[in-house]
Amino acid sequence: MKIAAEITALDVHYQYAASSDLALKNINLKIKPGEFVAIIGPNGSGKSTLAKLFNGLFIPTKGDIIVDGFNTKNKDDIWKIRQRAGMVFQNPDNQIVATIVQEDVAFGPENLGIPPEEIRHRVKEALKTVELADYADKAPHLLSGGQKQRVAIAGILAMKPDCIILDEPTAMLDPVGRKEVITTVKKLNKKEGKTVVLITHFMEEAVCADRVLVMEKGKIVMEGRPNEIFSQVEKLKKLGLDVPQVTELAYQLAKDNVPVQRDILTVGEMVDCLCQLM
Amino acid sequence: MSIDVKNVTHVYMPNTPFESIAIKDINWTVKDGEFWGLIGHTGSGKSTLIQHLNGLLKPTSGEIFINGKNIHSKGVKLKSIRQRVGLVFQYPEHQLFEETIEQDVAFGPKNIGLTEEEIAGRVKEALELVGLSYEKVKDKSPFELSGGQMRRVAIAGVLAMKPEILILDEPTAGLDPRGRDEILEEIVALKQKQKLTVILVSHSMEDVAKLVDKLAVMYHGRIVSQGTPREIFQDYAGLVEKGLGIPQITELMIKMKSKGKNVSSDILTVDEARAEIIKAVRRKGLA
Ligand SMILES: Nc1ncnc2c1ncn2[C@@H]1O[C@H](COP(=O)(O)OP(=O)(O)OP(=O)(O)O)[C@@H](O)[C@H]1O
Ligand SMILES: Nc1ncnc2c1ncn2[C@@H]1O[C@H](COP(=O)(O)OP(=O)(O)OP(=O)(O)O)[C@@H](O)[C@H]1O
Ligand SMILES: [Mg+2]
Ligand SMILES: [Mg+2]
Repeated sequence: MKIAAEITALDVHYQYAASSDLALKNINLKIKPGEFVAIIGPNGSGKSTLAKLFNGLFIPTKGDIIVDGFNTKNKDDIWKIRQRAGMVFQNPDNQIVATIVQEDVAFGPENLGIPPEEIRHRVKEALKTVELADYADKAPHLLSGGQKQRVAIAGILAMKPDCIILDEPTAMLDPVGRKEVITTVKKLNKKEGKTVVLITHFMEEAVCADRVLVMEKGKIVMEGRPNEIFSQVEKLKKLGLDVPQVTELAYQLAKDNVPVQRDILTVGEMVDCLCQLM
Repeated sequence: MSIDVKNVTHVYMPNTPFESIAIKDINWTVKDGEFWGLIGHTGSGKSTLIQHLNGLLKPTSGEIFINGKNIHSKGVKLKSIRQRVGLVFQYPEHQLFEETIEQDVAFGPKNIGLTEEEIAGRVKEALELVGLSYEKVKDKSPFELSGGQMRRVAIAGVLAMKPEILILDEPTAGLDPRGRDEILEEIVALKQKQKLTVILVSHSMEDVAKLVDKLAVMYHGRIVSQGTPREIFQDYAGLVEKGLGIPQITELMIKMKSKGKNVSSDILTVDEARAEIIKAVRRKGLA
């Protein structure tokens, strides 16, 4: 088995050509092989920009991004980087390239020069994983929002990258679809050892990560394990963020002097905690 | 304004090998001033259905009535329907096309022949309503915005038309939590102030539980149930089967109850849960 990819950012700054402000400032971080990192932050805080730097779509204005030893500045290495760090974009429409779902999913592996037989196999597997096997021959632009999003995820899975970067992959999904995607992501991380970077506005999803990064105005302003981050309810709210409903409940109950743990993150933890009290 | 959907079916690309029935035999009445939530799995037909309500899509069979008038009958101008029935699309990018944000939001009001002054006023008001500073963003290109910022501009463009019915197709997808709450609060405030009729399409069970008076549940092209959120969220298993769910807080209370704890599971918000748990804990004498 291949070792999962590592991503390092060294004093990274990024400025869009059309803008006078820096979209990212002083970003230093290391994502370890096999780690599951969630990135949260208000709209416009720089999450997508950072993700696009991770897979070499953008090059830092200053500083370096190193993926598995390859600097994204070296144009010759770009496919090596994309093969290692696959990205699911925020808007699936921007990602759809073909007129038939299975061709769309095959696009990435084709660019990697994978033999056709193997591609067919991968496409089938990937579509099965996202539960779109029956849609293989459909036109992607005619699918519903959530279906398109899953096609985009399948396209990345078919490239078998060591690291998967997902930019709000569940924004358009129904509750069950959202759970399925997160379950798939967790499985890829735990069972296949893939590195995962998940950008999300759903706090219940960020809770699944090993580590949470909080961005604000182009900077990383908080960093820690999910229970360390989400127990800081007031600080998160000040940033315009939120906590899962059960975490909010624990926070409220603690204010009412009910002796509950403050770092509750899931329904299961809350049930256990409350059962001891009543 | 009221809406009546009568036996509406929509077939995409009829009489081709790609023919597909997106919605089937929909019957639905939205009364003046009501706040509806529309939920359903991806591909269940929500966007297809709401695009019928302002005449953007035409039923393959069936009829749409606005204030009792069939919108596809002779003499009804679809342009005037679209002005009164504002629709915010699921993908804001599809709605943005001008060079600057100001022009983009002004597009609708310009089309209905308002004066320059009125247009400017509306653009400013609409942008502030969605939490964007007019001065800061007016000259920017909508394509230089983050995903969430684009969505706010798209909503502003519809609000600037001052519609009587406001239909929002997942308006909070991609918004950060504060942005989500602010926009939803604005919608509630607008609804009250301007007596709007509102339809909110959403995948957030938490949001619809908190906000709407009535819910319609779609499943494979049909409306399979209608009722208050309290009624609809009783059926946890049934909703999961349909690709949906219930608010996390409701799930918690159902699980507590199934553990034999003496709490109500008829809970839709964190505040309700808090009150219920405090009651239960006090009975035990712990707090
Ligand atoms: N193409 C662009 N040209 C100029 N500025 C841009 C461009 N794309 C984004 N920006 C700006 O860069 C900043 C960071 O944007 P980015 O898309 O990374 O935010 P984000 O955290 O992903 O937000 P969201 O949660 O809304 O997706 C924002 O202020 C945005 O307006
Ligand atoms: N322009 C189109 N041509 C053909 N089929 C379409 C078209 N638009 C949607 N469909 C199909 O019609 C069905 C209903 O799609 P619709 O977009 O209304 O669903 P939705 O409930 O809004 O889903 P989502 O929650 O993912 O946005 C889907 O099966 C979809 O693939
Ligand atoms: Mg983004
Ligand atoms: Mg839709």
